[in-house]
Amino acid sequence: MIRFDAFLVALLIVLVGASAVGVISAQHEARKLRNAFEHEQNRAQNLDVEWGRLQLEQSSLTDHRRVEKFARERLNMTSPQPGQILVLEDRP
Amino acid sequence: MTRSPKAVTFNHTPLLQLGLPQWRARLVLLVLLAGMGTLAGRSLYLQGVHNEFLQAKGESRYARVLEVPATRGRISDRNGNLLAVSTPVYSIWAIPSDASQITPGQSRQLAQLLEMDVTDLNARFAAGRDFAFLKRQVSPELAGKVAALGLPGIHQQNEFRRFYPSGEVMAHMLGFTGVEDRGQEGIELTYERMLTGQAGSRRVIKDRRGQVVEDVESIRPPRDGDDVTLAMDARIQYLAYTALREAVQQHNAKAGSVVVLDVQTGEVLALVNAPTFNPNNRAHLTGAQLRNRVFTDAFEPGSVMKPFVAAMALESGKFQAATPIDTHSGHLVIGNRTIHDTHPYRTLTVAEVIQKSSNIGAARMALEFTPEQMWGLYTRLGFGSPLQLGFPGEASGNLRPARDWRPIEQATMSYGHGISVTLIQIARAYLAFARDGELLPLSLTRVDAPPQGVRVFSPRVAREVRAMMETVVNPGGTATRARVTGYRVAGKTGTANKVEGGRYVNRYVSSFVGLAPVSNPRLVVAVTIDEPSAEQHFGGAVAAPVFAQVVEGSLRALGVAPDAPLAPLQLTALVPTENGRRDPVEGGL
Repeated sequence: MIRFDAFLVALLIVLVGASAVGVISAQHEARKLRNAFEHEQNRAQNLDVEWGRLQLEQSSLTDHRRVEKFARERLNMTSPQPGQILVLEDRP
Repeated sequence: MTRSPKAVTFNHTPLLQLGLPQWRARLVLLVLLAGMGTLAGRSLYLQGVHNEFLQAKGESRYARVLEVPATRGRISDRNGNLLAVSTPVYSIWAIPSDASQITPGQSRQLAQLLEMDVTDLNARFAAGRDFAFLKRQVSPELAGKVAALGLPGIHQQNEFRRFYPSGEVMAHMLGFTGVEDRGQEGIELTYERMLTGQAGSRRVIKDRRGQVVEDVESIRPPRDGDDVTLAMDARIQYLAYTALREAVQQHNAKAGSVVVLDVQTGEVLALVNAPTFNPNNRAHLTGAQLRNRVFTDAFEPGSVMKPFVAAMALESGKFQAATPIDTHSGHLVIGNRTIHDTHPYRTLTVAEVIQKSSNIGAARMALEFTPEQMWGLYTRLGFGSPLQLGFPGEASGNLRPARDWRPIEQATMSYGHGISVTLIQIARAYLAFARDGELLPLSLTRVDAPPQGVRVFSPRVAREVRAMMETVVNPGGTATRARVTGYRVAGKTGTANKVEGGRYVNRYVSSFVGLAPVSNPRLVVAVTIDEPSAEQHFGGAVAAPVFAQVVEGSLRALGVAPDAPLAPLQLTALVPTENGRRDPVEGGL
């Protein structure tokens, strides 16, 4: 009977020790994951900012004033004169 | 006593037989117990009573409160083109007392990066303040370079800056924000509540290397501003901007405005003023540039009011489109005043009064009604009260109460003198002709379902007046230059003398308000040119071409099928004298 008690205590001590190690490693893991999460969140934010900048750039590049200038000066385009317009009608 | 080594008992060592008094042992015990009691008491105190304070102290060594920035909403046009975007920038600031350690070489380097004068920079360091901005709103790249210098006492602060890619084209519509990213004008101010975000904060635990290892709590979640989608169509806005700018330059005018409305929904598709400004660089702004004249300037509209009077006349049944009106060969005496038509006619039909823009014809029609009836019409059309679109500084115009009207005033009001309106009001009122007699509330933001309209004219009358207004642009009318290839258009010219110090002066506001295409109207376009000073000043010559240019491009951009043959027009540009001869001078007070 005494031997059994001693065995139980020893087992519990081992289990408590294992649990303690488990808690520590879980905590460590949680911190690592949190760190990674923060990192990704930062990255997402930076990408968002980048996206905004790219949209801004797109808007600037497609600005009507710029497009018209290019069309007229580089491509020598002009607005069609009345005689040059042909309307195709969609008759079923 | 024999003593063998085995029998040695140390108990009997005389040295140990000191016979110390009992109290000494007890004292030691007591002292030890007291020491232990003190420790226990102290630990109880720390653990139990003082615990919270100590916990907080401990946490403050590694817990941090982080600001979570929120961005301001974006503004886009109806097709999703971005018109205003906030992007992060940095402000560089210094703690002058810390910055005193900076060497002259370093400060030269810094000054070069920030494009500042070294002496100016040193002056800021020398100033006895705790805080000094060195440069606000610099790009992230530049901020990175400054940080790389690693100078003592130089810090950075995250901010947002608003960019307007379309620049001056949309300036008055969008307005702008201040350095703190708060709306100050235009849509930015009107929709400030929606656009503005709310920065949040959260408490975190950081490790030795400054990395976040635990999220303790979110104190306040950040809320990004909502995006605003305008009713505006960037293509039409650009067309209106170009046309207006050219006209203002060509006629050497003081100012000008254009408004384009969607007939089906009451949306404001374009809104342009000249002169304008660049919202991205507001260093040298004048009040004239900032004025959003479409909303803030009430002017005497002149003859563009005549179609309303004609509609009232037809609605009553007292007049038909073909009813002849005696126009007294150009002079009509009312009380002690005389009103004139510059191009006299003996009689004109109601339709011709509109086509030729006869003041006397309009006055004769108006005088068949009581002042209350006319006041009621103008009020129903929205004159004299602001549109309540929430735009800053909107004028209500001036419509005096009917009981004060003398007959001469009622007569002049029929052709748009003695009453003042804003361009947006008159454009909205013309919706009644475009929508077969119905008025809509206007909207600056995109509308999905058209709102409920209010009927002001019967459909028959609205169509009849529309037909009259079409004759205005046809040969024999006052605005042949408003015609557009491929589309039938209708409208009315206005040329009003300006009032200065209560007197009419020889300066003019030329206007044209019209709709297109006539068979199934899609657009109402209103144009004013303020003080055209180069040779011509008639609405038909100055404002009508702007109308034509805007309508032609806009209808094509919207993909509206032509309702007229695409034959080249006999443009009056080929017969330049026609306008000068045919245009009756208006505003003959």
